[in-house]
Amino acid sequence: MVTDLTDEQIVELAVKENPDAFGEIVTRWERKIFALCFGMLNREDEAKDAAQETFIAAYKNLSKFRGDAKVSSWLHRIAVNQCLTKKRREKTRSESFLDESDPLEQKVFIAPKNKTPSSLSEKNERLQAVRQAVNSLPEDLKQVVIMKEFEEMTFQEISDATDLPLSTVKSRLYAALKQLRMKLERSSFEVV
Amino acid sequence: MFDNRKNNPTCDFGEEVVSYLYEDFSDADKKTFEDHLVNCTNCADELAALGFVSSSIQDWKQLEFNGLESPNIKIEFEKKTGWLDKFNKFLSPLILKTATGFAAVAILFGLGWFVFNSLQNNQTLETADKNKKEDIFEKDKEIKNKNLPPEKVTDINKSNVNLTETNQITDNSNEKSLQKIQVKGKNKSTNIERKSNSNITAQNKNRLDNKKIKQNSADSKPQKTFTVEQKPSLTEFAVEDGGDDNIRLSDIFDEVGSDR
Repeated sequence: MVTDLTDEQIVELAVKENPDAFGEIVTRWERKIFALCFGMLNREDEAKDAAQETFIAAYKNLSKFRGDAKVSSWLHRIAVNQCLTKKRREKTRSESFLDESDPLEQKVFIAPKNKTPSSLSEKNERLQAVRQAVNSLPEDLKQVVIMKEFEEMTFQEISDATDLPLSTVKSRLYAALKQLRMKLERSSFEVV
Repeated sequence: MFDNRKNNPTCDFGEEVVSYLYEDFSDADKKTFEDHLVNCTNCADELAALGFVSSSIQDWKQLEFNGLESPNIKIEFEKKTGWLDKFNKFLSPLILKTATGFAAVAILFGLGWFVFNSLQNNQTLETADKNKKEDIFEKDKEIKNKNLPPEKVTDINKSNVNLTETNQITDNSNEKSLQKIQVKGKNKSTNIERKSNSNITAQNKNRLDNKKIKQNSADSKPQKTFTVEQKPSLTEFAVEDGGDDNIRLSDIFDEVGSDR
């Protein structure tokens, strides 16, 4: 049974004999990879695309997979790269859009987001603040936060996925949470 | 409201706060840290603040992510192919069809050629056999008309027919064989020479020699030399033991004697 095998054994099987076995890897990791992509991109459609592209890229490069690495870390690295590529493209697109847009529209577009309409509930304001705060984190810190909070991975899993020592993972998460705390303090102060 | 107090610079338990928050402590470490929290308000406050950040992220996830369906990821898996499949893939279907067509035509042509050739060979063999038979019968007729009475001719013809059938089986070497019979009249010296007829048995030779001796002993008077030189059909001597060439040879000798 393929389901009884480890990720690494399944990949080996897919490379040597049965490419269909990779389907089990997809089943095991699609939700977590989707969560990671969603946490990094904050958009459902973009996150789904990124997840799909992650698995396709992994499947195409199965033969390049090194047996000494973990499949989970390999998949996460591909997913993070896919998300970063998408963000870069998005940034380029929005910048070119701003350059070409009418100054009057620009004014409307860049209106401060913390001045949300009063009709929105306080909870939604807080969630929007959290999203913005997470998005503004440096990529290395953001990645760890998303893996821990969205994917609910253990520290050891994050360590394997990022090829970082366990202590580094914890210190990065601590640093990320501290930054988020400060950002949220600022935004809540402004909102209030 | 968040607590804006600075962290205590002397308290370096950042990783422990995170470990405690996400329950990544052993029981012993957990107890030690809890003891520390009782005495360190900074760490306790920080734990509370980071816990609030974490729960805010969880709320965000709950609201915006948990309700989402997982993406329906589709991957077109390639099947493992053998060398034949790769070869077929290499050849486009059109080329493959054309090649198959040519191969079929070539096979049909080859079969047709083989059948045609074997038919032609059969015809040639039949013609050659007919000619051979005709030659043999003509020669026999000549012998019969010149030398033998009708009843003897009939015997020879019969035996020739039988032997011709046997000849169809034997190879062409029989055709080339020459036979020469020299019968010397009253001296009765009979000399039979035959060339390369493998079917003539040693017994036949012995019989011929016996005839010669009989003839020599029977006739004491010297007579005129009479030579019959003929080329009978080789089949006369291609008879195995039990054939009737004894009779024929004696007939021939008798006939020769009577003519004289």
